[in-house]
Amino acid sequence: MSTGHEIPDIILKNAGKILDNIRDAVFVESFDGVIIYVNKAATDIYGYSREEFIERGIDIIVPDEEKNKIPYIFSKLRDRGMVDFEAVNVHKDGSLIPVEILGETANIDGMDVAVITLRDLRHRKTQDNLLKVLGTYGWDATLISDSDGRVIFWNSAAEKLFGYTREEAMNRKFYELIIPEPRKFENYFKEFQDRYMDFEQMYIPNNVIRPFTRKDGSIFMGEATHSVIKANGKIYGIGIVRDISKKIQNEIDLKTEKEKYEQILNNMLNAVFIIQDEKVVYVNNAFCTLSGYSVNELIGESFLMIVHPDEREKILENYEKRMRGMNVPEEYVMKLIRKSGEARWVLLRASIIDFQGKKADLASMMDVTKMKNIETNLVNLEKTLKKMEIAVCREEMYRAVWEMLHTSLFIDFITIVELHHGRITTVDSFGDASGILSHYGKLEYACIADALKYNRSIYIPHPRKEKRCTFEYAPESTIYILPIKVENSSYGVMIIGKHGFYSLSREDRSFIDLLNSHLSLSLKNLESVRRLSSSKNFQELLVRILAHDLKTHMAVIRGYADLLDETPNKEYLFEIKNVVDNVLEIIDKMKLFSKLDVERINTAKNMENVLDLIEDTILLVKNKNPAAKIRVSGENATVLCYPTLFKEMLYNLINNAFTHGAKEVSVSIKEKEKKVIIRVADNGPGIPPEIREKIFDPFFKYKSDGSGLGLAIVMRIVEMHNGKLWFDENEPKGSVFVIEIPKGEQWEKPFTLEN
Amino acid sequence: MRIMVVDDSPSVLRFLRAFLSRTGHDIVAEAGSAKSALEISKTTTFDLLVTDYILPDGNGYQVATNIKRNNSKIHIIIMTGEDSFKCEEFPVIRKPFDLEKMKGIIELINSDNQSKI
Repeated sequence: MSTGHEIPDIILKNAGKILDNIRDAVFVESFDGVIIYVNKAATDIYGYSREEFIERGIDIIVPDEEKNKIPYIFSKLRDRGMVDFEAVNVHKDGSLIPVEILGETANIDGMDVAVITLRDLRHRKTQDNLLKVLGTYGWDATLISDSDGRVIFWNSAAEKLFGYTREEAMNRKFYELIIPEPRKFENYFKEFQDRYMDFEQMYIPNNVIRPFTRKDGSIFMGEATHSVIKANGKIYGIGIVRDISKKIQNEIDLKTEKEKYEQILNNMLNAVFIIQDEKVVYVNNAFCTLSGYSVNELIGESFLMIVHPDEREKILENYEKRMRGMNVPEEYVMKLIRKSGEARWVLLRASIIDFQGKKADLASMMDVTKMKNIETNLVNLEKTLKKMEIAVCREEMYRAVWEMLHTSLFIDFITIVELHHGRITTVDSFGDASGILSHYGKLEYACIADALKYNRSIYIPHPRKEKRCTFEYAPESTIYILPIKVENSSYGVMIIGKHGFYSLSREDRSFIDLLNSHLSLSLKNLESVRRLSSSKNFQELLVRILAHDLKTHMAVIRGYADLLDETPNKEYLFEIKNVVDNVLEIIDKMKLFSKLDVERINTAKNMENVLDLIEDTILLVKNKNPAAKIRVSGENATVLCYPTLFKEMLYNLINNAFTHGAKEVSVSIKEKEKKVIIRVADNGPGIPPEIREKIFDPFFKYKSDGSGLGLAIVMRIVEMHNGKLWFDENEPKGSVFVIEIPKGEQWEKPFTLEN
Repeated sequence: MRIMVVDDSPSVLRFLRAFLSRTGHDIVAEAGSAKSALEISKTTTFDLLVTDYILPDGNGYQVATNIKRNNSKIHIIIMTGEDSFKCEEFPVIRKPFDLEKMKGIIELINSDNQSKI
């Protein structure tokens, strides 16, 4: 039997020419790494000549840092016969090219080869998407309409097929031109458009076989693919129509009449059935597949057995009305129940025919469960977006994303990884990510780094033949990694996983992308409020913060003054003094911080005894706060430092502990491998997890009237000593700040900010 | 009337306590961050929320809409030092505080509250 995949000789003879006319780059490479063939598009896209490719191999288009992935990809290709992924390639001039890669194995003259097709994604814009669609279907009648159905594109194949010239068709409603009963269709069209109104990026092609009409009034059977795209906030419909009446005619000529119809019906993708007197009298193969019943199980039974119990009443009513010639919708969505009990949504189209001399109902169905799910997802999506909009912290937003994806796409886990001070840390995890993220696998780690670096999402499907995978590491789940962006920079990544062999379809992924773009937006709104500190313009920032903080303090002073006007109260005067002290301290800190930021430190580093520095600092603290309890323990260590700055650093840490509610602070010194480690531990309330990453940001304040610069100053001074600073939790409560500074040696040159 | 105050500055909290207690209302809860404000709001009953706009982990508007969602009867006043901040849903008190205006708003809310009971 003909498979339909046989290629006519004429095409084979001209294969080279055809390959050169393709816009995608095509490489044929043996598994020994020898390039056998390169098409013209490959030379255009990458800038190398065919000779250069054949001589140097396909590796030249892969960025250096990714070259080590090539053997893995080839082994995967060999195992599965097919790979499909997106990557970034390099042009001869060094520029990066995002590409979609499809690799397939083939056998040429007994030799196994890899056929690799690369599509340049640089111009993946809506316009080009349109062109791509048109390019692909250039031989078929293609039309594009706006949301009202008015034709805005009409190709020459459409002119030929429908008889209207481009000028005649433009701006007219397409269904008035090509659909036999345009008024009936109008309602269906409106409903269809409404359904997609709120969608972004979604592209759902849909196939139907239906009658079409030409300009001369003749009617023919056509196979139509229609889909909806959104561009510049507007919705467009794309329709591609192919005349299949000839195809049907050809097949009819081949066999006896009965066989012909059976063959046509059986070969159709749509499920078709005929009902007479409420009994099923005919079903095609597609219908059996859809319902899960065999032909024998269906024939002679009531058609209601495949209708979901929820819908039986409605469907029976429709059927009876139709049989009595009453007006009922030609097309509607109904719920079907499969033999297994599983419910599916189908789009049903029914009409009356004459079957063996009696009236019968001919119906065709298309499985639209996916579309129906998308609808439900849309409703959930709205709720989720609302939740994200009013979330007060990132954790709440991430949770909303997780709940949405868990219920709609059955995602098993989401891990959120954020980038802070150049380090990747897991900040949130939902669901069961065990076995995947307990330690990042090499591949995942590389992908996370990639996602962050190139700001793009990466999809790693589950390797279906796991045991045959020769690569040292294979993921145990399908994983989708996407960057979380705020404005244009990556903030972190979201790792979405599904256990087992399940994959995430393209639609699923675009849905996730959509959600992610909303997440970025919500994060941005949240960030703009609090991350004033990341602003690069220090001057502007300084003024803003000063204005804001001073205004608050002055408001309090002014408020007390107003109260004092009514009743004299000593407490109010005390409060005013307090606030004035705070303002003075802010001014001092601001001065110091700006010095550390822009001015060169002119004094030299000196070898100092750490214990002496700490004792000096404690005197300063007690000067201001005589009741402060501070314990010191540890070794007698020396360190190369700027003594004044070093004391400033210690003072800020110790004082900070007391202003945040500590009753006692203990400072310990330790020497370890040419480093001095100073721990400042307190028994205060500790630092709530949600603000931990921000405590070192300049101007970040928490329950404090200070400058918000204390810890930022500490961090900067530690950096000026080439040291490290981090935060730990204290047992049983409180915080520990740990400073680690190289001991250094006296001969070191004076430090300047330039070196 | 029971009042909850949210501000990350302890001195502002102390001042509001002094001021509001003179208007004859009770401060039943205080919070210094958006998160703790939401937590406290789940276990404490109050009639009026007075919150600063800028908080260390979010903003007062988000806190207000969140609390309002769980209990639409709660009244809101937002305080801010940012001239650019605009809000039509809730009354806004700008810094430096106009105590007469604040008193007026609170009395208005109070009488509204009384009539509901």
